[in-house]
Amino acid sequence: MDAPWVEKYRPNRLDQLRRGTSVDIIRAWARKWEGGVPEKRGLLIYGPPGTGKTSAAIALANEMGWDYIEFNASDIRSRSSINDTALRGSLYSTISEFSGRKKLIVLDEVDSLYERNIDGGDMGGKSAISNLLDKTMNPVILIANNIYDLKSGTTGKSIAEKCEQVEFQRYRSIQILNILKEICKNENIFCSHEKLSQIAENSNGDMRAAINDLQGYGDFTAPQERDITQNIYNIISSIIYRKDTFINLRNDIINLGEDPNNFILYLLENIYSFNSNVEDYVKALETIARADLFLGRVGRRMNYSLWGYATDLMASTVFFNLKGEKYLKFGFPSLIKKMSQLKKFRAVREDFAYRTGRYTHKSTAFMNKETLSFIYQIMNRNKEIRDNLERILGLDFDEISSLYL
Amino acid sequence: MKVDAKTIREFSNIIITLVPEARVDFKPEGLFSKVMDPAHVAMIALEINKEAFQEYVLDGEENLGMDIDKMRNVLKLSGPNDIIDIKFDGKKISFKLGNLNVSTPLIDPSSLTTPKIPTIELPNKIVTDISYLSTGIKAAEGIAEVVTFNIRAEELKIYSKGETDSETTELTIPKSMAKEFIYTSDARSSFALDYLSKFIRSLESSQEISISVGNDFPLRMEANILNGKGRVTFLLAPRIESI
Repeated sequence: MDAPWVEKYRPNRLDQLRRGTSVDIIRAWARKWEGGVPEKRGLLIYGPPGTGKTSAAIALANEMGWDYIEFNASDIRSRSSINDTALRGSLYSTISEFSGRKKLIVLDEVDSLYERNIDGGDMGGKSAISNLLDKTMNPVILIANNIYDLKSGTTGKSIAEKCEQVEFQRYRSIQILNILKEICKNENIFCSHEKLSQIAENSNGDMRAAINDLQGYGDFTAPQERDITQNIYNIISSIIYRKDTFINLRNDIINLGEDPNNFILYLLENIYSFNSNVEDYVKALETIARADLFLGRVGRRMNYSLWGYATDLMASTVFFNLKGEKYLKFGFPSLIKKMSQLKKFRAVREDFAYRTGRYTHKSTAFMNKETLSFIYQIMNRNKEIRDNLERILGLDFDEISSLYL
Repeated sequence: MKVDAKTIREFSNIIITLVPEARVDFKPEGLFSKVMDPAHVAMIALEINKEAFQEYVLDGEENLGMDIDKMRNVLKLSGPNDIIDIKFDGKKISFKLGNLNVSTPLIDPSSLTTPKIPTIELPNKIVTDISYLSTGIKAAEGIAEVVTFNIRAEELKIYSKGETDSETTELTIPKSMAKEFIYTSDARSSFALDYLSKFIRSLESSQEISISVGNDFPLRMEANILNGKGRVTFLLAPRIESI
């Protein structure tokens, strides 16, 4: 296969990034490094994915004749790993052959460093980075998606203060469109203007996603639609009409990119068919129920490897004869539909549970789950208590009774 | 191919001072490997002639991505004089040790970066017994993280300083103790002690070492290994002095 286009067309010079004045800030910071160690030793580039942050770092290293070393969050999780690699590297000049003899140290995804759960250390990743910024003799660039995550906590704030800061905003779709056109021209491929604009629009300012999408389409005469509900529909109809094998369906569900918790709702909604074999229908429901058990465990234990079992079980409903005689319309999950219809009522219940909870020193969740129906019954039978409650809680009984339609 | 466990152990000990995985090129004249540590501070270029092997049969040229860490686990099972029979196909490398056969997967060599060894002209060079150098490095290990090489007309000084001024180590190698002493100008550079001590320790079969020093410039050390059947070059970047 071809090299990924995002790598192939990665800009070599800062100007090619089309980043306007932000580039000037980056260059000014780099020039200070040429004359010694500047006051702010770090440069913080932040912005959403696919806006050219890493490319800017690479292009800068190119322009300055600096060596380039990149560490991402998985390399630099703990203090000791930062000290062993990035910090040590920052104190010594580069051994590779570079005219500048300096190395640009790039720490990617610094906003995803967590301070907790660092084994046996009194100082976590963020403080190690802060220490690095105090001591480094080489230029350091920090890259973050979310500056607020980085700045959370005092160490994060001090990191930000030690850096010049540059924000990269999302590309406008016209900018993306122009790049896509250039790539098409270079690769000698044809793609309609409509298709290209569509890719550009869909990317939501993420250049990398747009270029990947362009490369992914491959067949330019009949581009595929990226439509999740459409795919869910296809998979589920393949399950019901047994159009595909278990293995294929299982892979389809995995590749769907949809949360299995949503998929199971679609599946449950649509296997419902009259005239089908009742035994098979019961078995299918049991299988889905078991899949749901796994999904529940994922929720409780945060062990996402269990998703695999849920997916297997959901795909295995293809073994049951669920095909009805009548064609049934593909339905949106009624649970989600009903939840949204009941939003208003749930709000009233929450409010009621909150007020009674405050009065009885219990949590809102407890009142909501355990006591609401009893209170309702009591209020319904005893007018005196009802009047008292309405007065104390400032509630209207009619409002409450609306909960039990 | 067949080789002493001792030979292959020395090879892996040297490489592992910088990286756990390395690209190793098997060429008709022998085995070559170049590695650089992840912080781009040190480089090692290593070659072992085919004479160091008991049997060296090769079909053309092979570039292998080897997991040195895993290989060392296999070597732990062998005695120093055991002969290891090494075979590789595209996907795995197998070590045969008597009746024991162990295979480990190979790494795609294109995923491992091979550094280009820079050509560095250094004005001063001294060849000396490795044990002198090693004493000086070991003395510094307890107290400092940085060690300084200072060469003058008559001597090479290797010194370090602890947290207080009274805690120091200093090793002097006078011209008379050196096998070869080429001096052009006074020079001084400081280096990370950790890299030096790991590297020196990995050289089990070397007697002499050549040390080239410049002023705030990379250090180059060269040594013959395996009784002259191999050669290792070590490059280390200097500490950047505050301006």
